[in-house]
Amino acid sequence: MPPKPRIFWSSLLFAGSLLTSALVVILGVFSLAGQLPAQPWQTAIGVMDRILPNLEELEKQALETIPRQIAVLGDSTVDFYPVNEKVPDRLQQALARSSPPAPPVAVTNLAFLALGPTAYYFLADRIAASRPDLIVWAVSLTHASERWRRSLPRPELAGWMAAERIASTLTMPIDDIGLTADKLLLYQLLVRADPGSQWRDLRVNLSRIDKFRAKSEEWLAQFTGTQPEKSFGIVSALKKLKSHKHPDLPDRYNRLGEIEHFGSALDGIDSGHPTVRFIGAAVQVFSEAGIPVLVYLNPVNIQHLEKVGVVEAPKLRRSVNAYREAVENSGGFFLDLHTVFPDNYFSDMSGHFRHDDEIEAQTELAETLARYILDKGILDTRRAEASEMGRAK
Amino acid sequence: MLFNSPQFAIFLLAVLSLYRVVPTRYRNPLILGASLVFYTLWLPAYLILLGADIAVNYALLHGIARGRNPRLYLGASIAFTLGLLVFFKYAAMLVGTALPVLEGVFAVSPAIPDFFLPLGISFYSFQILAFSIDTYRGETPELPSLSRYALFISFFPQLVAGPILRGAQFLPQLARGGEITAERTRRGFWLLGIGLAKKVILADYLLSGFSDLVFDARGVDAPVFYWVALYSFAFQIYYDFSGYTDMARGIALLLGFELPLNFMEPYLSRDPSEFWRRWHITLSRWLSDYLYIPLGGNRRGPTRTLINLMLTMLLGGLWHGASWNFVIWGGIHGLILVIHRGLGLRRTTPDTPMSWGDIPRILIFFHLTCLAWVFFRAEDFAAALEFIGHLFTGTNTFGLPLMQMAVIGFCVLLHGAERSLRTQLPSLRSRLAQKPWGSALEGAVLGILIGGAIVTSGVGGDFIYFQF
Repeated sequence: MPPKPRIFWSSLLFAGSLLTSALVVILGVFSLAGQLPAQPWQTAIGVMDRILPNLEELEKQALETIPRQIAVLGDSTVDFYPVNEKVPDRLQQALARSSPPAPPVAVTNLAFLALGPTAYYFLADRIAASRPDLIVWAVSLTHASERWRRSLPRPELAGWMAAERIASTLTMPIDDIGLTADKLLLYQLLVRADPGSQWRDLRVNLSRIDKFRAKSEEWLAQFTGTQPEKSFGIVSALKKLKSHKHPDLPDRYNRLGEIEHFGSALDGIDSGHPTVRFIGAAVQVFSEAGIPVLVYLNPVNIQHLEKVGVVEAPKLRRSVNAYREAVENSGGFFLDLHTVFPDNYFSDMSGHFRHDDEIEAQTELAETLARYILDKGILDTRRAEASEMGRAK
Repeated sequence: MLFNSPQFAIFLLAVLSLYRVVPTRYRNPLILGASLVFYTLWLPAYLILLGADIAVNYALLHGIARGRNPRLYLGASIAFTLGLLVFFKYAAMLVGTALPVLEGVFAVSPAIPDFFLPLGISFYSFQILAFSIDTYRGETPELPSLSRYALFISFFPQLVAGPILRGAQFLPQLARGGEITAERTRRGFWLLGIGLAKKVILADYLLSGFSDLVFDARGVDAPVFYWVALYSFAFQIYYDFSGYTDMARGIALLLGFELPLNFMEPYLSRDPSEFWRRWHITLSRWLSDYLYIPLGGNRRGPTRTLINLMLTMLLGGLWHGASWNFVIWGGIHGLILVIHRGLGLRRTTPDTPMSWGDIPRILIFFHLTCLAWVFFRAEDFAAALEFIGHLFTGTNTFGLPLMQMAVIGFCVLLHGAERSLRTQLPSLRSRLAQKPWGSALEGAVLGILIGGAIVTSGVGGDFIYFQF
């Protein structure tokens, strides 16, 4: 039945006005908000802008089989943006200095702020496709904490995952990191549409619409001479921080802070824990691609944990074993470094390492890794052998 | 999928487009398919749970309607449905509560279950129970087919946060099929736009930030901030939930179905019984029909009536979430109802005309409701008491939160105007439709609402009731 002209034209007017008005509001608000510079850690695209060029470089170098390629994965303990003092550089230097000398090696940095097990689970096939000769991956016990899993899981990186892994991903505990099937499909769609910088600008502008509210607040503040909401926010944030800070040590958490920082890792976790499952599954992807993986457990400030009385050795050992089994059962090598550094090797309460005139913790860490790699002959492991080993285990 | 997410916009557009082009007889199967896809897109594993709930209860319905012992089948239906609800929603709370006894007396230490709450389980479980009980009571004329029953339970616009439907209300509509008219489509867009604006602009952008800041800030000395946060939360939860319901009703209208009204300006209530006729109306009716009245209602004397009221409110509170805080919240409302009824104070209904003289009663009851909200929002009982303590003690060293006070002022005015909008919007729209520029004006107003919702959507959180 042909549409009635009146309904047809009024629908057209309605829809046209709706779209135009929505667009005017959006563009108007964005132009008032201004184009604000995006920080690389704020969006998934920003993170990938850092990671992808390195991956492409790795792929290019993998075609030339010499020097051998090592890809280093990890969070801010490996790559502390914007400080250019990183574990990958130190590892390259340590391998070059080794005796007997290691074969020529190029170490590529694929680490970035707050990239934990879930992020690398999503990026695993992209990394495997770049065919490094070895993957060295830093994991931390803090990755098992609820705080990390709720606030730093970066589920948007699921958009870069290979489509054939979607089905198996749905069997993983993705709900734990706030990812649902619809979001997973949306992220895939967005990445395939390749929206690039426009999408990032949209996200950044959307996240900064609060600027209007702040301006209104400033305008209202002229009547009282203060900015009460802002100052209240600052005071409450400081109070919260203070409640987590050690009273005598400015760069350390107190008991409460450490409990939140390490979360369930202090209670002892097992193979069913979401973080452990994501680590195991990511290592499995690398192993199946025939790439040897060395997962090392980052040093923990045990001295301080003992001082504030939150650590029970059997429980912590259970958590470490859960990590170890996940890695080894998936065909990877596991190096437990959680006890190697004393308190003065840590620069802050988040567990980052000191690198100054007195202590070069990252260099020591890199030398330990280099020794382990050379002693075990991991770099010489042929990919096929690694694959066999992964399957056998 | 949240209704204010880009993926839902894509999903809805696809469903509506297909719905308009498929032959009428395929429309119900299309919505059933869309509802199952909608559910699957949350966590696919839980589709099995929803499917089992539907299949088992449908089989039991036959026993209820035609079996020799319908009471037995009804018992099985209630046990199965409540069993799943308790297992997935309340197991952690029950084990956690019993843990000290289990450890102390029996020396066993079971792990506290850690399930992800199945989407909308509280809502669809109540819908299933209502239909089984209605069938037992003979209030359903005939059993629907399995596919129609499945659609009734899983209808995606209301699946996750209501309104809670009754078979007698919705199944006849499903039997007739969605009736799409130009008027329903426009009304659907209006409800969708208004709901989106309520949820995204008001609840998420203007209200939640401040209430979260203050509720999470323990030990800061500033009573005015606590009061403003309390008002902010009261309006936040209202606009969040009623906005969601408006969107659900709007989407249903776009598919040609009418869903019941769930909110009628609850903060204009003059007494507790009026509040429960204005707040989450479909839940209140459910609790009344399937809990309060079967318990005896007001037929067994004044004392038993008060006990029944209290029990209903305690269980109603528990329905809202697996925490003792929700039970306390329900208990406070129960206590208010009991005192109000016990003292024999005047009772009003939403139909009782309002006058300026009602303002003191509205204000008193609004503040009682707000104080009860503290237990709903606070992390635990101790945090709730601490929050209430801050309302009445301390010095205002931070000045006045003028911005948020302005937001609250706006919400108060809007809440007052909502009544007129609700009653007069239909006639205003039909008058507009007569004008040649009416469509353009309607489209522009809705476009501004939707545009505003899009630009503020970066700030928002999830629906407060989303996992209920």
